[in-house]
Amino acid sequence: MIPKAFRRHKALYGLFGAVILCGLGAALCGCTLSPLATRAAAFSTAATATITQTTNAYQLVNQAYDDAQVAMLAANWDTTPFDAGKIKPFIPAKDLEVRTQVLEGLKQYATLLAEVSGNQPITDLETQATAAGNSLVKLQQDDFKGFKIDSQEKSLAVAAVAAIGGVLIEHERARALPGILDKMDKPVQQICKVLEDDIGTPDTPGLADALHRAYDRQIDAQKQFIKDHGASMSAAEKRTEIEALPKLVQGQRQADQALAATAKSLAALASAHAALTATKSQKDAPAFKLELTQLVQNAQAINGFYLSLSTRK
Amino acid sequence: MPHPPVPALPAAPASPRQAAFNALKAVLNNAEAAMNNPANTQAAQATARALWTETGEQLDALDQAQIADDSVALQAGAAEMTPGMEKLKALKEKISALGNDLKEAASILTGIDKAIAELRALGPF
Repeated sequence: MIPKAFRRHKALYGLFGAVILCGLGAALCGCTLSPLATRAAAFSTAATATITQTTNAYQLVNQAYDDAQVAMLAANWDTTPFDAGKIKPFIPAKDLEVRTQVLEGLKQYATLLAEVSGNQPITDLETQATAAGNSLVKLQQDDFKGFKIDSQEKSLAVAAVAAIGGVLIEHERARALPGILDKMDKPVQQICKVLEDDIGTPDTPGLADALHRAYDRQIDAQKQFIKDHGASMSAAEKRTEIEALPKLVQGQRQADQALAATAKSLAALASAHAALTATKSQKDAPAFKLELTQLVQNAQAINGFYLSLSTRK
Repeated sequence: MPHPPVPALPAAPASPRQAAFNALKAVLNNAEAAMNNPANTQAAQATARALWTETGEQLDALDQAQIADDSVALQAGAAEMTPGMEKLKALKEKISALGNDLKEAASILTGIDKAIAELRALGPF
């Protein structure tokens, strides 16, 4: 006859055995992120960088426009009366607000994608499973003789619960994410295209033209200032004013490049999202990897441009 | 018999705004050349500069009109994102709920443990 205590422990170990088997099975198919979840998380990281740089582009345009206003004011002070009403940002506040909100929406989408796709939900689940396991162990052993659990058994149970939870999470993701990506692709494409066209080039109406001409005005104002006041300047003063001219020309070239790179990056962001959506059911997605590489390279290039512009000031 | 060549579609006409933009840019470039031409008299240069400034302001207005139109298009795009965002938030909540159920279980077990300890402190019944 099997002793009572042994029977009780045997039953307990049997229960844990079943749970552990489930857990191991679950771990095999669920603990690693699915290819789609991995790609969604990668997209999110790259998108956030691009969105940040796009925000910098708006600041750059407004700053260059302000600088041009000040330069023209100084150059024309003797001939043109000061009009306080003319001093205003190039991008009207309401339009800047729309862009800020739309970019914030895209960022929120990218962040949510990362949160849903990343490891954090599984980590949180493990934390909660551990807390529940610790509480089980803490139960006063005298009052729950029939339910005695030691820390080793607890660890096994926690691992099993976390693994099963991981599978459930992955199941929910696999069921819902492809549909969400399909739904989001059209507005993401639309928004990126409008933002790209909004920047445009110096040969189309939009921000790039405004930025290029803001530098033209600064250069002209500087030339005018030297022409009007050069005779009364010392040699050193004149040299300083003349030296500012090539710096402005270089600044204009870099600013043009920064905006062109930002527009290119927005196009790459749209392509990367389209590739993410198109490869939602594929295990390996070389097209997506290529798009993402381009997106990251563009974001880094833009970052370099803006950094060089800010350090020059 | 070989098919006759398919005639190419004519290029899309430039938007009215682009056409106005191109015309203003031509005026701007001419004015810039005139104001920087040392062969011109000072008066002619000043007139060219005034034209250059005024044309620049008109181009600014065109750029800002484009920006305003883009704002409307952006708002429409943002509105279209809403249903997908709601679904994504619902998915996040569903995933979080799995952890929250365990949190609740842990809290109940801790509560039972404390209650037993307090009952024992009251002494034997």
